[in-house]
Amino acid sequence: MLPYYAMRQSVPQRRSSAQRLPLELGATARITLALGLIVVLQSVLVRLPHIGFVFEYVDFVLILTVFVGVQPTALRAALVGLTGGLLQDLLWGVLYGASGFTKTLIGYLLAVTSMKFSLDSRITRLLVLSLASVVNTGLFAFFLYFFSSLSSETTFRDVVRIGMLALLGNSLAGLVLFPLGDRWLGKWIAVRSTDEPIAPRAF
Amino acid sequence: MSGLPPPLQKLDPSRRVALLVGSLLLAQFLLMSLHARARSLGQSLPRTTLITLLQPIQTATDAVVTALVTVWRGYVDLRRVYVDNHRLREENDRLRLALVEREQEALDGRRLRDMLALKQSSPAPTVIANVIGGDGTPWFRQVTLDKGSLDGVQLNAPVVTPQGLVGRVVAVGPTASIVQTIADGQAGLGATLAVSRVNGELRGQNQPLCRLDNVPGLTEVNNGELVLTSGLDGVYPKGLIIGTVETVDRAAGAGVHRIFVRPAAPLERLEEVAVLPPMLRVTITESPRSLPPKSPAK
Repeated sequence: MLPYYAMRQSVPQRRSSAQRLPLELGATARITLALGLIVVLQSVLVRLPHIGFVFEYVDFVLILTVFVGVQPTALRAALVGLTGGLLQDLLWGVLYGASGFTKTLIGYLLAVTSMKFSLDSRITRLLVLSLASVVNTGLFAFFLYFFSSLSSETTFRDVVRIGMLALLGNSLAGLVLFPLGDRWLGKWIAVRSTDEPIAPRAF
Repeated sequence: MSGLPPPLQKLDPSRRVALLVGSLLLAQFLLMSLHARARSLGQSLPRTTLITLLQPIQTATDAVVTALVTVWRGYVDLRRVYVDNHRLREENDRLRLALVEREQEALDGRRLRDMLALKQSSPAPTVIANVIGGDGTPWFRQVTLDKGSLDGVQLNAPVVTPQGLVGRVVAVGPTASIVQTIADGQAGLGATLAVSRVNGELRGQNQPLCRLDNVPGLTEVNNGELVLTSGLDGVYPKGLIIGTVETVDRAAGAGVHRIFVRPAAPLERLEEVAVLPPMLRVTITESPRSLPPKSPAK
């Protein structure tokens, strides 16, 4: 049995320590969480009646990769692309690494480009997303073809059709999602000068 | 940066990142190569873990989205009522809502009754599962179920609805599983035309229609003819309804018909499905090639 003064002191101490334990997730953890959620959301939205097929041509992971990639944080953009792409690969189960490779490359190249040219504006981001969408479809289809995982019925015309529809879908989705991303994710992925990663200038 | 090996410390930071990203890309290329070589479509430990982790979130999200769609549909229905007499509006709303609920209940009841009948007519143990997700890409046609190995779902198990065949299970987690539908570009199965009894190979095209190959041009095929599973592929039992012949590009003489089949199951709007037990599979191992023949006894 604790003495009375000890009991009185222990209660407020415990409360204050509980208040000092906020759930502070790092930027990478938050983006990883966002990646998981958007992968789930995409798999559910595609089942919506009448409009679900539209979401087959919207790649939320690519949009997030471009969103991060247009800032000069090369490693982070590559890692976001890597994580999201591998999540998609695991869900699809057809060729592990195909989507991961494509999105890692897109994220890294965008971030490296954005060190020399400013890509982080409303118009530029959309143009970059359109370009990234075409590269994403083309490279992914190439890997499926290269490793004989592409359906034998798929023709070059099908790939172009899917690429065009994906360009349209991703661009329209980017138009809506980039402002939302600015509002909800902007402060998490902003470049922080106090970071000391393995490559301060590039991270 | 003191934790890095000396050769890396000498590198420019941006080159260090380039080196790391290059290594990641190379690793993923090797992963693709290994996966393509292994041909283990579907089942793997990371995939099983992922679908198990995502299953509760998928189920919850699906429930929320379904509820929102139901509310939206109710709203759309109600909007039509507002043009009616103002005095009768409240009563009309109540009656319409009640009617919608009853119709929904009746539809649910009919669907569940069909599923129950299917379950009773199927060999045990049949598992009834809900579809909780699609694959969200135009490249494949797969769906996620909310039942897994803990419920008795097994790899390669055929999946059906009362209307017809859906596909087969290609990955199983403890609480979720993934089904490759017959419309998937990589799906293929043995099929039989119900009238002529000629066998062919049905292939998915990532489109609403599937293609039936290898049916000789001399065979008489009519639009609307029923297509059944042949059972020759070792995955699907014989006699399940696949769909009906939609169009036939007839071949002359020794050629083969180009037949398109519309699946009977509503693959684009699946809700509940039945997972049948997988067929008995025969594992073929390599025969010992280098065994010398026994010398005859002298």
